[in-house]
Amino acid sequence: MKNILIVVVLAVCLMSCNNRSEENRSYEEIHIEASKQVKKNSEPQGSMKGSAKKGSSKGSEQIMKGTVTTSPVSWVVPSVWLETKGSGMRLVTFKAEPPNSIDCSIISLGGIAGGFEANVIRWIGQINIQLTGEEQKKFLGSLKEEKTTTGLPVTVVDFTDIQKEKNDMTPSMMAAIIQLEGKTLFIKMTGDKSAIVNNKGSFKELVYSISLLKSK
Amino acid sequence: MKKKILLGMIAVLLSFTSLVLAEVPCPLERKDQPRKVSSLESFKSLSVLHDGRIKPLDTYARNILLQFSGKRSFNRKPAIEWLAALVFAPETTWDDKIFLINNPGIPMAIGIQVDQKRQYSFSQLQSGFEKITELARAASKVDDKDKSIVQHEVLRLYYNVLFYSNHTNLTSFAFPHPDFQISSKDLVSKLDLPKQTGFSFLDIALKASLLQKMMEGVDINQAETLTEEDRIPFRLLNNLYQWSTYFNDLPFTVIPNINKEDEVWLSPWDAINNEFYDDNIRTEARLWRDLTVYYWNGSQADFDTTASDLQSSVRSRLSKKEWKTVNQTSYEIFYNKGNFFLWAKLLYGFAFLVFLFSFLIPKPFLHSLAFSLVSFGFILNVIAQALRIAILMRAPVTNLFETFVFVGLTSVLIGIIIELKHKKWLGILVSSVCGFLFLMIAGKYAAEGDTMRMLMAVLNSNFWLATHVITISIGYAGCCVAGIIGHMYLIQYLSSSFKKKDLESTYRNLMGALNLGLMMTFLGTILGGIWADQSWGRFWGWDPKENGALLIIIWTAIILHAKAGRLIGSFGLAVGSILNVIVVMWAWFGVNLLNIGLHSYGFTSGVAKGLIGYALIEIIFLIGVFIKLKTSKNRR
Amino acid sequence: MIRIIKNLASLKITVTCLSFLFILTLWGTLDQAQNGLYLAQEKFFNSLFFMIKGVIPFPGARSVLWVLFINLICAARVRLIYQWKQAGIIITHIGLLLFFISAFVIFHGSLESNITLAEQEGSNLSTAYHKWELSLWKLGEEKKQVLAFDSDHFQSGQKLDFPKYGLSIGVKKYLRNCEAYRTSDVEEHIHNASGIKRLESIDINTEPGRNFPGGIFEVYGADEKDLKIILYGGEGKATAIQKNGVPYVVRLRRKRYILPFVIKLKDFRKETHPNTQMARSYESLVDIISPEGITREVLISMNKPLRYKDFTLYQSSYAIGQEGQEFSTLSVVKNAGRLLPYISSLTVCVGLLIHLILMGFKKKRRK
Repeated sequence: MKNILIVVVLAVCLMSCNNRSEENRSYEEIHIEASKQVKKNSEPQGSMKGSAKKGSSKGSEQIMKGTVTTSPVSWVVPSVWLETKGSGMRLVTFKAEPPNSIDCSIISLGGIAGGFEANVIRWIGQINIQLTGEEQKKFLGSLKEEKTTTGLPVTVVDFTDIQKEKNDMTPSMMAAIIQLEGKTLFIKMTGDKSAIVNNKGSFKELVYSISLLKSK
Repeated sequence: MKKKILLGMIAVLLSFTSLVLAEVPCPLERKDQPRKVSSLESFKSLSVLHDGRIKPLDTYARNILLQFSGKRSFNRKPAIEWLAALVFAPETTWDDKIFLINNPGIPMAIGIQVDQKRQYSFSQLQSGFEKITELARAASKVDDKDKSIVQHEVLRLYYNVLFYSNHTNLTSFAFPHPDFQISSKDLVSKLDLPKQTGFSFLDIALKASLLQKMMEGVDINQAETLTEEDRIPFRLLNNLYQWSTYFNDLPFTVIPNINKEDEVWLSPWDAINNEFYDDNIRTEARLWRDLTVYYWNGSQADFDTTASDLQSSVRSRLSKKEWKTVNQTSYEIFYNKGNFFLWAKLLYGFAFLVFLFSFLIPKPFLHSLAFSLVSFGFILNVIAQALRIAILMRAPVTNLFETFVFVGLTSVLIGIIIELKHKKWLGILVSSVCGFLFLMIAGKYAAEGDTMRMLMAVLNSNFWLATHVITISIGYAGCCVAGIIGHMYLIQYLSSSFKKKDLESTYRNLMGALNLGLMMTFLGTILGGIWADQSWGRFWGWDPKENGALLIIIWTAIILHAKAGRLIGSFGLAVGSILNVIVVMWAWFGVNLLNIGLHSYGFTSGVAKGLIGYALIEIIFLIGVFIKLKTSKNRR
Repeated sequence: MIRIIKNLASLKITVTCLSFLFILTLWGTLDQAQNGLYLAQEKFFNSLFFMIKGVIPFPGARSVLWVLFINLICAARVRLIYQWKQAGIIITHIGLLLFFISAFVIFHGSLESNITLAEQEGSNLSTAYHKWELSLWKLGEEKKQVLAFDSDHFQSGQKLDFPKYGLSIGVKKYLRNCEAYRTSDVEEHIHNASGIKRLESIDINTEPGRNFPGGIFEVYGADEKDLKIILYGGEGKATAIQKNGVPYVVRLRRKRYILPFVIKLKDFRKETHPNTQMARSYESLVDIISPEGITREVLISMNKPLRYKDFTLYQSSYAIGQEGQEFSTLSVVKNAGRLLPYISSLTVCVGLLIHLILMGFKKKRRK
């Protein structure tokens, strides 16, 4: 009886040691599309932090981090800006101090994220610029693709050029789009017009400094 | 966008107003000192939404002052007085030394005189603010984990100064300003304004639609042909727009937005900018203006009536859920005023002194005195705990501060039970030491900021969590009590003046406390496992906090098994339970030090030092005990 | 025999094992701060033994627990006194034995993965956190039938056969963590959908989910002779190959597990504390479609998971897309012995309770 017990224990012990070998599997994949237009463009983010009290969050948070393709992007912060941690879709947020206070963020989205022109037109609407179809076409046509210092294709969109109001306090914006394989980076700076104008240099400095983290 | 209706109408006009482009509104200069009102009782109970919770201004004032200066009052005056000055007459607070900078290197780096009391005023810091920003910018680039204490402090200072300066514009809409001067008497009467020339933003904003009407039909393209007087409405509207774009995103959110379902609150300025078309918002903005005026005039009765009008206006617009929270305001003010934890702490401290005194004069009345001190402290402690539960409407233990309070409370209760049974000072010793020490540590944690924060999603309303934390806290309490009795046991063991019977009774209490500790920690850990299984799908994940609880269980299991196997005696058990307290401390808040950065400025390093210091003292104590034991054995 | 058992049942062994466990737990906790949870767990808790500084062997928690388990069984045989007054202690120790068994079952029988869905999206597969597979399927089929090989232990020279399609793939080079480049010094024709030309191996990341494997493979039986392809775990596109004019697709992707149902996200809702970014609650409303085609609506929220047979689905995180579409991530746990810890806990607690009551009786009698 006792012998059997020990043998069983040892057998279980040995069983526990062998690794599961890899297998060859076949399965059916069923996928219900969300909707035809919306492209799935995001990895899980903002994993729920557990309690400070219990602290068990660490485990799940790390697991969550594992599923996020981390930002492959690096940048040089313009000297007059303050870098703060990104949240949600934002990789990072920059701020500049009053009176030239602006809010600038880098956002990374998968896919072509709605298309270049659609985004620019949406932004024009966001800052209440009224353009005729002709003007819009002209503006879009005037945008040129440039290269960052590491050679990424970038298009800088300066909305202050087409804002008719002379008032320096009008809400304004400057943006840049970097199209990468499989994802798009949006760099967006918002603030009032004079602040945007005054921060143009820093903005370009930031945009041109963006590079892929791993490229050598 | 559409929310800025007022702005929308004005924006059209801006294309031709370059000739009257006003300078950015500067902070107002008001030469006279405000007369101030003498009582702020009505102001105190106004509601503000801060850190996700609706709280009375009394709490808000204490919290922000604490955040700035590390103290809950300023110059021995209640925080609310200081807040009122900041809100209504900000320039009177510019010289108040309210910014705590622990590190003398920071004032030196920004070129201001190092203050002995480590407190600095806004006027002092303003001159060096550029430098602070520069330092903060550098510090913000460092990963939270790798930030030095100084870097944390720089960032804290930076955000505090920004936060403060945001408060200095809260009521600027209420003060007359050259931007809103009307020299034309005709226009004043047309606008139905009182017969004077200086007006405030709010005065003019309330007439914005009239101004708008006046301008209908005026050809914008022929602005040059307009007379000086005709241009005034344009100038006024333009200045309204300028001001409203300048003052936004301010703190001090005291006005609920107009959508009942949406729980967002706005600062008076943001409410004016975004929802001024709503009558309630207009009323409340006007009431805030009136409060400011009455504060300056020192008319107490008017101030109080206005405050209560404001309160009822705000309350009438709340959703049921918000209403529930607002209802707790009176409890919260009572809780703030009572300072129960401080009194309880003092009573426990006194009880301990009485205990020490009883060695000099062993009189029975001292025993009853100490016991009543402890009991009275316990009652205050319970009241404070009950108030917190009532205010927050949630289980009592959700953050480190609350664990200290709760473990303290439980230990005191255990001590009282022991004392009721044995009447030999042991329980009083346990109660007074635990009560005092834990409330003291809790006080340190409370100094980090608001102790009534909102909970993250995982922690919200969960049965397993509530039971888990409460049980494990009781487990901690049991272990700590066992540790203190362990000390007592060793002292009794070594000194000849104690009888064997006393020693045995102490030992029994030790075993009882240790068993309670083991059992509750075990139960608590299991409940934690169940909670983890419910929310993450795994019972056990070798997480630091889980490991901490496991360490306590293993350690207690080791000493209990070693005792059962006669590897150690009751002396060893006492030593083991003393060491167990170190394990408990590690599990309780030591592991939190591993993820430095969550809530760490200044104090956390203090905690680490305290923990190491405590462990060292215990080890020295034990070495002393061993030496004493060896020598006394040799003598025998 | 009895003597061996008696020796094995010694309390000294218990105390020694517990002490080892104490050291391991403490050490393993401290190590987490530096090396992360996963590595610390592998090294201290899941291993039989490990080397300190590569020289001195130290037992891992797994072997210590085995010794403790044997010690406990032997103690149950010879040490525990089976009397009524010891009932509490006995039940407690039986509960502890059950804990060991549940630990064993869960360690060997549980599987964790996750599934991320946009609103209105549905799937029958969940994704592994850090295991990878090489999968191949025929394009344009009504039912997408995937053939997959676990790729984590690929060796150069290994051949993967897909007899169903008359294709086979040879592993030329497999890197467990690498970076991909679109430029290459060597002019060589390597096929890849994303234009990757070259892979470079980098160190294995301490967080296993951060590793992106890649490899160079040779395809046999395709229309193109000597077809070489590069597959990279980090790429978004699948590489296509043609056989008899029919397109097939190959991908290196995180391993997929099959769920016995299709889950469709109908709605994701999130609430924050007012005026803050701090979340107050999250929940996902999903449809569970069983293989029989029966649809059931379930609400998954924090602390309220969905249980389906051996599977449990928890709300774990969320994301908001640019157009405002919401994504919900559910973690999926397949757990054979989910109830075991509950049973063990209950047994231990009952044991402790009985012990406490009996002690109380004893005291009263003594008085």
